[in-house]
Amino acid sequence: MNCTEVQLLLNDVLDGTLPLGQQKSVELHLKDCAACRQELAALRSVLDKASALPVSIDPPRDLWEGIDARLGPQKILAGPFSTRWEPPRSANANPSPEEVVKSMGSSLRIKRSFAAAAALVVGLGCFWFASQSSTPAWRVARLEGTPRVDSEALENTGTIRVGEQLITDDSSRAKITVGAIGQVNVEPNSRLRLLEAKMTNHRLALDRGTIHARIWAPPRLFFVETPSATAIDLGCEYLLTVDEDGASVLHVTSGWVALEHGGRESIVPSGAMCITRPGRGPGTPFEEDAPEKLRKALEQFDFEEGGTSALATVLAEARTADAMTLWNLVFRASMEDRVKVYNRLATLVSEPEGVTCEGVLDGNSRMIAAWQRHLHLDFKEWWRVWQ
Amino acid sequence: MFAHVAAPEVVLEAKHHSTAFLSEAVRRAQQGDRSAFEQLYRDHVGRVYALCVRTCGNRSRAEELTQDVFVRTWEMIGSFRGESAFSSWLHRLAVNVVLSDYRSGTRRTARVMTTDDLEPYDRSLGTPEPGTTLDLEEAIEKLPSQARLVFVLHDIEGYKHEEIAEQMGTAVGTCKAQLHRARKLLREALEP
Repeated sequence: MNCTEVQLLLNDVLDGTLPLGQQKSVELHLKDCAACRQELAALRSVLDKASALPVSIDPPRDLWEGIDARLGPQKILAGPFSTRWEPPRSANANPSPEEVVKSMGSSLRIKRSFAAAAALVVGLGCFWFASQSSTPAWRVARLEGTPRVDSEALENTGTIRVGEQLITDDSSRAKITVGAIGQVNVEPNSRLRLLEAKMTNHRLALDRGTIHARIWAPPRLFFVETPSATAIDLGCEYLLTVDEDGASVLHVTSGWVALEHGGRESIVPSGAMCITRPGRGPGTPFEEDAPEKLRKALEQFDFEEGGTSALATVLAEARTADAMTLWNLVFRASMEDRVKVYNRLATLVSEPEGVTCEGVLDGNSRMIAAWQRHLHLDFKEWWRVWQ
Repeated sequence: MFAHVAAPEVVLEAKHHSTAFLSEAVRRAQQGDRSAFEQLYRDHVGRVYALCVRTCGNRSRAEELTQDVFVRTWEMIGSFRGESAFSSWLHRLAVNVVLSDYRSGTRRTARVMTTDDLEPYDRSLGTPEPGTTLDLEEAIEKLPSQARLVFVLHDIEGYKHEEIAEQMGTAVGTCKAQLHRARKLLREALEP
């Protein structure tokens, strides 16, 4: 190859897209040609500088006033129904911004269709709301022993209303039908309160004991408050236990559950667990079969100021199957430790193409999305195929 | 094996601000709370403006585009469901607003110039004063429009040629050619 031919391929060298057949020829040429090496180095320097540019630039003036003056009504999707309610298998559960932008620039025909669809959604929503509002209480059925709703023993079936509590002793169990969206089995030695029974807010408080929840509604319609975190259903089945101190353990057996407390959130996938502690919120999710040493070190890291030492144990004990835990830790570790966590993750699971540690830690959304796809973590995709 | 890996969304958001507040701010903004939306604007405007000013190469137009992005975000925030980080969703929306603006501009100038092909001439990015070099931001600003857009989206924002080409309505080959051209012009502009 001569210089002209090689210089045409230098960008492919930089992008890693050079066909294998040409790679050796280019390498051979570069070995002997200082001019082409210099050209390659100069181009690489441009890319290095580009990757070092700040992610954020402050505009020269505050633009809020102009924006505020232009804010009109929000689209119908911003209403209480639309953000949460959509047929699960009807295409897109999370409209992408491309679709959003396309929809905004749409033709009159599409706008009319949209208006008709919106009217239909509102109509159906009103109908559903009306049917729900006529059922202010949830049905409760006795499974074993003698559960109580407040002070009254539950014979076979009954109801629980907002403000009431369901109590099971060491030999009783009960089943609650959660509106039209799911079912909760209440295990022995539990105390549960019904906080809200609205269409968009099915909310219980689990003060102690164990529940087994199966929810078949779209995400974020069913909530369970515990003394240390709120479990938010993302379309799932799970087991949640709260001890006398208010700490809890979550096992997700299907779908996903989010645990939130004080701004800290953990999204726990099927087959994984998460611990919460009063005042601290949720810890880092881990696999059900994670090694004991890893679990203990993770607990120290999350709740006992275990810091770098506990993290080192987690990294040493992590298996390929613990990639989900490490991915979470990449963003939970101190700034100094994040590179270590990332490198360990990249050792266990090959890095997606075009992704760098620096990019991920710098919040590059494309690279983060690439990792998420690589690890099959795409919640949206899961929700789309959920049945 | 990796059928279920959780997205550390909240932690990603923490790069910009308190995660609790952001989460709450999104929810409140979805319910029409303007003060919550203003906080979202303040948390994210730098990132959005950076994208706009780099891609359009004109500061006053970048301000307009930034405003367009947030007005549209307000209109459509109800469709955001939290399956990805809000910042990612917003950024994607911003990219599409920028590309939409680019396509409109292309249509406006189509009568006088075919923009799907490389421009018929390469202009210099300007000769710096002796003993000085252009700053990369300045050099990007001086790139021809299509080359600048492709360079920013590919080399700074990390988008793939296929995605950029589809959104710009050009061929992948054209997109690559524009990127190579942009790099070459930048290299020349940054030479000491």
